[in-house]
Amino acid sequence: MKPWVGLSLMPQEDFRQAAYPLFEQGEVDVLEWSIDMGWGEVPIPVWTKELLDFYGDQRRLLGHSIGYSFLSAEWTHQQQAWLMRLADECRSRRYRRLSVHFGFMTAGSFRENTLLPVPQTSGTLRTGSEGLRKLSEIAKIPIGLENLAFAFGQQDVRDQGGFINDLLVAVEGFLVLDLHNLYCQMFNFRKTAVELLSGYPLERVCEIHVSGGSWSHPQSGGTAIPIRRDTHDGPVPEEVFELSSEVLKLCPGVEAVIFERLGDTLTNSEEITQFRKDYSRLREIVTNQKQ
Amino acid sequence: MLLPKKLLKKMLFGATGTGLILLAGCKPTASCNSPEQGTTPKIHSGDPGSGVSSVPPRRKGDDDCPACGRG
Repeated sequence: MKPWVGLSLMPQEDFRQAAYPLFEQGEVDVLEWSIDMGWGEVPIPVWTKELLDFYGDQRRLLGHSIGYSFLSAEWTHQQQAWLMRLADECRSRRYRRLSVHFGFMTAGSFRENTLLPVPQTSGTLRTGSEGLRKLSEIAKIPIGLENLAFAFGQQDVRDQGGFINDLLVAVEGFLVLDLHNLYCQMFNFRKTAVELLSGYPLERVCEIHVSGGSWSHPQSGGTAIPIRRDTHDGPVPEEVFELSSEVLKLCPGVEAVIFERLGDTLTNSEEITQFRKDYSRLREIVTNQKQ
Repeated sequence: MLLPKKLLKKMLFGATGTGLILLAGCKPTASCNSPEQGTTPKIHSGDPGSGVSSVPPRRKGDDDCPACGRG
């Protein structure tokens, strides 16, 4: 079976406007939803909720989150509360699977922050495995991990795939391979795709993420080299499209390819047109893939 | 996958129920739900469910949210 192609759903108005024709033409096979996006005090729009319910009922809804921080060294009230909300979420909506991000983020909201990686030690592996087991017990659906774009150095880049595999063993979990995150590491750490992919358990890949991002230009720190960031606010780079085609050949277990674009970043008609073009091109790559 | 027409219609009409686009106002979140907010259209960086492992860089024209001070 060809993988499904779908969207990471955003509740914002610009996203609704940009994505509507794709839904109307029946081109969205599957949805991914960042589950904690709906946990704020103000409810999500009715159209968003009903779309999620519909895809859930069709068994085509994938859960995702960056907020759990399962690699935090200390178990916190926030994580416990998060799990309680997750239990409610999984009772109210039928998710096919749930994935969280590799890394930790416990200090709260910052401007322009990201999850941070941790080195693999017996302690971090034990902590992470326990965090994933708790997640699995509550969610009662398959659990997965997504690779992280950010790395402190070459060792993080080299070791991430193996560490993720060891963590996934604890829950017999799956891998969400984010191709733009790989692209960030390829550029920022001067790696080839082959070098990076060789470290990941490709047999575990069930989902692929594709997105665009942006460049940061450091003003200090002794380097004039731009840094690629996984900001989900720009067009998909050509290299990521090429990577999609190659990775699909290497990952026979892929069930869904998800296109990600942050809401409130589609600010004009050109960006909306590009968003639709990128989605259509991704769909074409997946559809034309030889099995 | 084709969607039921009723569902498509709701999506077409959107949050306003008219199909018009909401122009301004940062989206209320768990960490900042003040009625004063409303100048930046971005999800706050690092808010649960912002959906990205890193968030968009600040752009020219983005104003801080008057309620919580974040852009």
